[in-house]
Amino acid sequence: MIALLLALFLALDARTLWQQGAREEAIAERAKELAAPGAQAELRLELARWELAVHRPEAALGHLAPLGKEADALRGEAHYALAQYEQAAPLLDEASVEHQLMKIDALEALGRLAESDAVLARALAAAQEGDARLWSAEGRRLARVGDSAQAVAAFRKALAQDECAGEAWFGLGRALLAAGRDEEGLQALEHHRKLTPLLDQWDFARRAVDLAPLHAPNLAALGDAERALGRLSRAAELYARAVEFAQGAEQLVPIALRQARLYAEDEHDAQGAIERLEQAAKRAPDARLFVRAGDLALEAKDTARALELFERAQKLRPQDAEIQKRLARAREAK
Amino acid sequence: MRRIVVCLALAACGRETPPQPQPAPATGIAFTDITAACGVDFVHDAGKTEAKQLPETMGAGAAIVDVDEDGDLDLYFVQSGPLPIPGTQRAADRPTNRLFLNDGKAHFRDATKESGDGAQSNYGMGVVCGDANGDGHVDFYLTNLGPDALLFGDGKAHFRDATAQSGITGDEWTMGAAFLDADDDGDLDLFVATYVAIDLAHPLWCGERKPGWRSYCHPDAYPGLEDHFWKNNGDGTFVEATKVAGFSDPGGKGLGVAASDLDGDGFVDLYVANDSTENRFYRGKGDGTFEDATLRSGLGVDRFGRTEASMGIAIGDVDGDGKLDLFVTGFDDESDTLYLGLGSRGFDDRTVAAGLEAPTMLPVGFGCVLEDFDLDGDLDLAIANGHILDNIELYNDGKTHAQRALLFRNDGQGHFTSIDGGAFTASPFVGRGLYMGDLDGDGAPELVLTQCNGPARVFRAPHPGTPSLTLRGLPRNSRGGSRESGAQSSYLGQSADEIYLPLPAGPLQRLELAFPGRAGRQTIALDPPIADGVLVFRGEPGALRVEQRGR
Repeated sequence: MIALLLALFLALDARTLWQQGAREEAIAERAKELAAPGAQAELRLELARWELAVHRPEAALGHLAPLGKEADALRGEAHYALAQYEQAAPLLDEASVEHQLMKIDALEALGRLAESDAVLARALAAAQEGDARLWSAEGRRLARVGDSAQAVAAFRKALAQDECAGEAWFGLGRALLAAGRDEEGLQALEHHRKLTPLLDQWDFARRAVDLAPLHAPNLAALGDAERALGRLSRAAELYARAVEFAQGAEQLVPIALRQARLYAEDEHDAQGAIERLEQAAKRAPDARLFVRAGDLALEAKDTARALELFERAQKLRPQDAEIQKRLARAREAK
Repeated sequence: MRRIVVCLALAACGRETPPQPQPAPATGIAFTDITAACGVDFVHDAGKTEAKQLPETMGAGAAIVDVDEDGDLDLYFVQSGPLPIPGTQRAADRPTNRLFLNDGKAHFRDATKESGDGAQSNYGMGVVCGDANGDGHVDFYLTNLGPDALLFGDGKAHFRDATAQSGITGDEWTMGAAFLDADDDGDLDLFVATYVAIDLAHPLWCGERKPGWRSYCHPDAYPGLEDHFWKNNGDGTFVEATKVAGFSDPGGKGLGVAASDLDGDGFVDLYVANDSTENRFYRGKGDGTFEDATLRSGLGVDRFGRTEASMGIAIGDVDGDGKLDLFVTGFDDESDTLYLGLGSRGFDDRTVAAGLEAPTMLPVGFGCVLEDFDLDGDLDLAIANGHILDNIELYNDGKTHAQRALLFRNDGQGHFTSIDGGAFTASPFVGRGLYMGDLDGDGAPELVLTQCNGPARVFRAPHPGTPSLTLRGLPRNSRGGSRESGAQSSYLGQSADEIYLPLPAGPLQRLELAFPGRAGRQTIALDPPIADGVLVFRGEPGALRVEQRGR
């Protein structure tokens, strides 16, 4: 009993480290805990999940080794990450969309197309609303068997779920070309070409967040990528988290400026932008924040507030000619 | 340039139809490592620093080419060395590129000192070969981290640096390059891929800030650069013609380049493998201009529509349908990609059907070669692998810096099976360049692998026992069997411009060559019939002469 309580206490400690973003330390702590007698299988499963999240599939397989079938799905993920598709395919859990996609991909990579297609058919049948990635896979399957018309329909269903689905835009363009609808096909491919660098930027940022999920610049970079893709609510959420975890003015100021830009330019909410800049300035008094807030106030015709904000900026940088110009402009407007 | 040889029909004694390929043996191909025995002791120096600068990861290329015109294949290796960081003094003892001359039996001697300006000492990247000044001798174009170099050869293994007079300028970081006659005027124009803009004086920090964890930055951290096309004036001087010719890819991060008539319309096209940006397919019009046909071709991204970290390129007809196919190596967690040529319908990513998806998913592929290693009549595939990050194990415990090379046997229908390649696949390397050529003159091609910051390796192929024909000196971009001459670029270098064809059905008595749109057809009688040996072609398309040589 004492061992169990101790294990739970220690587990909390490792979990706290994980939640704080100290991933290496959390994993090391949990590995130590597992050496204690009576360590629970759940702790071992959680450790394997953490290890998979930081790209340690070999370690995850090692820690899952003593467990039974309850660990099969995670074993499947680890084998998939190691491109060991023969081992991965039977272990992946078809109840989860992520695992369905992995299984489809693994079987396809092995050239076992009939099995891959069967998993896809089951996944689509089970899906309530559908999933853009599944519909894209269906489009690719249909294109592969030469049914361009149905492939077009499947890719359009994917795009109805997610208009930023790069795979679907590409597949749609190719399927339209195959169907002889060249103009439409090239239009779709042009759209895909424009979208691709944004998706690459997003993917790069996402991987960085995977590695260091509480590192503010990483979160802000992912916010930038989401904003570029037009997914503004996700971008706003990421900027807010980035502001929360930013350490020091060096991190906070540029992030707050980007957050304000989203509010001002995309949401047309100058007031929201100014509020966020002021909140950031409370943590890190920086002239750039007041200047930007003042500019926004001036654009919103709130000259009194603009004047106040520029004056605060001037206190921080008394000799700054740009701030003096802005002050003069605000006074003139008043 | 209009493609000169559309098909090359082989007629054997007593037969009206070309010989059929023999069934492939089930075993591997036991390459042996002959590096030490053959006298090649080149070691690449990446000039590694604590700052982990991206150029240190790229490796450098090599060329397999006959520079002394004695009928055998010599080796030229590109060296890198200390980084040319602005503000630092250039060391007098920088390591140089090196030239090794062959005695015809794969025994080499270091001829760097006699090579004149062949002993370049820049931070080198790649090399391509061709007769740039039309004097009949092989010249080199060298890509560098810094100004490139054009070296004129004299056919006696001696080179003269002609860069200053060539009209070629610029100091960007260049990688792959290709000579091609884009405007069908009989001289070789030049396409050069540039990579990224990097400030070596102010290195970025990537990776975790813990001892040992500093990492090389992803190329996404640097802006891409426009590639360059140089039109030859006919005498080895060039004029910049990138925009006029129709090339445009301002953000591209070019690594591999191949010039080939990929769409089979009789004109040479250009393919650029970009690192993490969309690859480019420029369709040649034969008049020195090109159109960006990437979208319609399907060659820009993989079948998921994703850009890949594309590195090396190999071209050949892998499924025997007469159309050229394209293989491109890529990063980890993305497979290398095989695009099958579909004629007027462009290309399609058929990596899965070819059996290449799973085995190429984890390694980082660089150099690649499509060649008939077992002389059974179809193109097999060899790939050099090696990760960019020398501490990748810290970031992913399933990956390693040094990685095993891969060898695949083709079943003749374009389906590949991974096989044991003897010493070639036995040990992990930090592989970068991979090139082929028959170094010992026995009719079976060897492999030369370059490593990043490590020794180059030479692997001898076992002779399968099948009589074979080596075609040498065919006009550039002419087709011979499943391959196109002069189109094997791989990564940062160049394989031998030779084509190897099995002759299992006995002596060959005539060759029939076809020249669409130019000189029509040409039948060359082989007297006496050749059973196993070398055919050396000379002269103009349509009026080619051939010389027979024994082994």
